[in-house]
Amino acid sequence: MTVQDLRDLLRERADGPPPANPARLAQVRARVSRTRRRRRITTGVAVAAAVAAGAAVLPGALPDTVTPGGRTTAATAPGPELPESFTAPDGAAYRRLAVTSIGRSGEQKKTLTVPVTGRPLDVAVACDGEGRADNTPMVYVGRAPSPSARIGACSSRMELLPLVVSQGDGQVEITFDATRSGVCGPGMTACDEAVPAAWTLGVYEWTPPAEPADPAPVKEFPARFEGWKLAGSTSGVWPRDSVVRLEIEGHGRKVALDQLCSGELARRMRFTYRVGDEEPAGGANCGVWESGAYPAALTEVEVPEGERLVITGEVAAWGETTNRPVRWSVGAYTRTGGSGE
Amino acid sequence: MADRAMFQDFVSARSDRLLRTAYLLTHDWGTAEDLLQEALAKAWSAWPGIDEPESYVRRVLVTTYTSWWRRRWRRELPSDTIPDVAVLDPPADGREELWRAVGRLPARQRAVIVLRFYEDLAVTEVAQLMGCAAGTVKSQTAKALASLRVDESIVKELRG
Repeated sequence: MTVQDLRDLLRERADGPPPANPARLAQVRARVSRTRRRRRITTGVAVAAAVAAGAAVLPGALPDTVTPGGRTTAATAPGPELPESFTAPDGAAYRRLAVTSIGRSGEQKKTLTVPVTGRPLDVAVACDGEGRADNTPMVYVGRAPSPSARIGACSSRMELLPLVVSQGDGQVEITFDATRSGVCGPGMTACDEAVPAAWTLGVYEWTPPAEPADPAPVKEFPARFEGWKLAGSTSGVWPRDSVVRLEIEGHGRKVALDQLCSGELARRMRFTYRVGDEEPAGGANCGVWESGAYPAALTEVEVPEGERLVITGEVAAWGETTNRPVRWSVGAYTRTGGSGE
Repeated sequence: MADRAMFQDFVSARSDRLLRTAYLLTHDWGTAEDLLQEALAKAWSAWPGIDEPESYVRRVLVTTYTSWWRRRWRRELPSDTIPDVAVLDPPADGREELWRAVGRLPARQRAVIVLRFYEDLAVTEVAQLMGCAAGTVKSQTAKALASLRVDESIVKELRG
């Protein structure tokens, strides 16, 4: 390795498109406000403590605390701010209809009533707290959990999720509930820990871009990955291409499928497959590979021996995608070695 | 002196570039965003007295990063990636291994590597930014390159 190799590596890693964050300025302002408020509170508490002749001041007694990592975790204060309006990189114009905030402590459940005009709706979420995937609130449309708006790990970067609602009623109630976590269930002891976090949650309606944007190319699947060998791949652009068809050599060993997408709505795509006579349970989401290691999420399928194996599938998207195409690629891997494991 | 009215323009125009530097320091886009916002918030308070906003924010970014690293050494960093992120088989050219090795460097060494070989700053500029002597920058660079097993002759040259 030379210094030039190191320079090339750093540029390659950093110079891909960084995740867009149109709310950055608003979030910085909120951070400044929180710091000022915290200083005022700290000063007030310090004065009170002095007056009380040396009573100990515990950090946990303050409304906002700073973790050992220096990250602000607002225990009862609202989370990061969300912009009133913004334009996504592909040209879609977003307008905020309602906004609220909830936390692990304080108010943990809020309901918003938003008008349904026929324009597509998204939930936006930004979080101040621990970045754990099991530390997420649930989204309900009316009384039913939303299958499309599933909040990911806590991040200060604004995340947009599709919100599928019935068009008929003129308005809809959206509830955000942090009294339970989205992926927690019986036996998941880690979920018992109440990790401090504060979420700002907004409902936006968006107007599609006038012209469809061209999604970036999708990176090629690695030829080999942890004992798997790429046997074939196919690609397309949603919504023009909504059918997957692949033919690979069948060796009687397991087959694993994975999918990568690009475009603003890449994470909203959903794939269902049929491999020979097998139909894997459920659907698979699409990974986005912009930098770093291959974000593998392989779906494994047992297959019978045969000369050729036909894989078919369907591509679908959560919510509206008008003029917001998504480039997708599906890869099929077979096990290397002879055991099938 | 920077006008506070220019802060918004600065964030719009320059923050993506600074985010990339933060990403090279933290190896995680979510933590990088957090680090960048922390640096921008600190810069906001000092904004009216800043002569060169970008170099000021970059300095705050690096010092905030090294202080976080000192405080976070025994706890997990927040991450926006799923827990079961795949590990690649090492590619033939060793680039993935080099990236991981950069991630294992101590904070100050990693900062020196990023500032010298991504930001292309001179030794004296890095020293000024990190508040240390030029000799310290050279020795930190040499140690980092040795850990990364990058070209021995370059390491010797830097030591001299």
